[in-house]
Amino acid sequence: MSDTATKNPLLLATIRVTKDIVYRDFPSETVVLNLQTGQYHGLNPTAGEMLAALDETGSVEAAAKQMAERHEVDVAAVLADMCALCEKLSERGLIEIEPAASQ
Amino acid sequence: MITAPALTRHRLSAFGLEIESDWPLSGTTPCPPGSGTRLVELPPDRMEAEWQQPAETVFEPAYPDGVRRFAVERDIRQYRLWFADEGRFLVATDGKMVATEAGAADADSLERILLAQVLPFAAALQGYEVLHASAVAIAGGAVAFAGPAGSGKTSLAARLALRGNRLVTDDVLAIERRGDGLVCHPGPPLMVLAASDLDVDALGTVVGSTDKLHVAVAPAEEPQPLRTLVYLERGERLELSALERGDTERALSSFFAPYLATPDRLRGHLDTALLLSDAVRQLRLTLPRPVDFDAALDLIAREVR
Repeated sequence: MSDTATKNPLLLATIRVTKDIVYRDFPSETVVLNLQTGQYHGLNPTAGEMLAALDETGSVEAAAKQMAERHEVDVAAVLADMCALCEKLSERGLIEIEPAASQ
Repeated sequence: MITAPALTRHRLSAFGLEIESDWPLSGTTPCPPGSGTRLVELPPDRMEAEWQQPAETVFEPAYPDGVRRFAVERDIRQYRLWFADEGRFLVATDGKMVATEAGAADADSLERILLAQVLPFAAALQGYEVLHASAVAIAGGAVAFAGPAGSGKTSLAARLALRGNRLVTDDVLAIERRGDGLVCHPGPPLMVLAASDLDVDALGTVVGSTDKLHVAVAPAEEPQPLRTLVYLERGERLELSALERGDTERALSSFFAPYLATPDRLRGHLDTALLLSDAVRQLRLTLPRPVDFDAALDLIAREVR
């Protein structure tokens, strides 16, 4: 486990896109739609790519690693941005964060 | 909903629907009973009985003057549409049955509201994506004009029709996702436009009137691939610009009856907006007042060949 993981439980959590949330990648943004409320949310292309990586991997660390490799950037920088995004997505009910069992 | 028997019906193809009406509408032809979307008439007491069923309000817009003009409710079997001036309508939740109230409105008002509101509502319930747009067939594909009421959708479509292009629809456009693209279903054979708008006699035959003239205009006979979508807005100068990356917000706000926000419809809107972005050229046309329609059409003609 990294040092960051000991400080931020988000890195050990399981991430799921909330049921009834769908998203589509448009040329200029990713549009996230809550099928129950009809509310749309717009994400810039980087945030949209992060959401897709979170959806695919279910893990902040794995998603950050995937993004870092794809864009050849430092994983620590991606992790910080990814954690910030997760908090915003969670506040809007777009993802669910399930803490690790030991937490 | 209770259906009234009719030995002879009147068929109309519009919005992707095969409509079988108990009475003739503009452009209908007599037909034997079939399996199309039924349009029936109920006596007032029967309609009232239906209206007494428990229901929830789906949508009721608030107007600045506080007057009620339009409401949509839903009971266990059907939607109930109430218009202050045109009466009450029932639309089955699957969209395959529409009932009007006999004698509630004059024939022209009834026809206008059916074609502009109620049947498009039924088309939406049957799974078509419905946009607030007029459209014309040009060079093997449809050019659609989307925008709010009064933005010039009908005026542009009518003038393009006068230039020899085939009308696809006036004011309400039913589209369908097919493969990687979208097709436009022809609307009813009717345009509703202001008497002073243009030379209506050159456009078609005046068959009725409300606060506008009802002009019979034969639409395209086959669905047309949607090639270009032009968003109309007011501006200080006439300008047509390409939206190279589309306009997701405008696309999503162009759907008819957005209050019908079921998960399937919402998902359909999003997928349709994505196809609009991928497969349809999107343009923005700003129109100053008064509108120089000929100049606007010349701009469009240069973009759409």
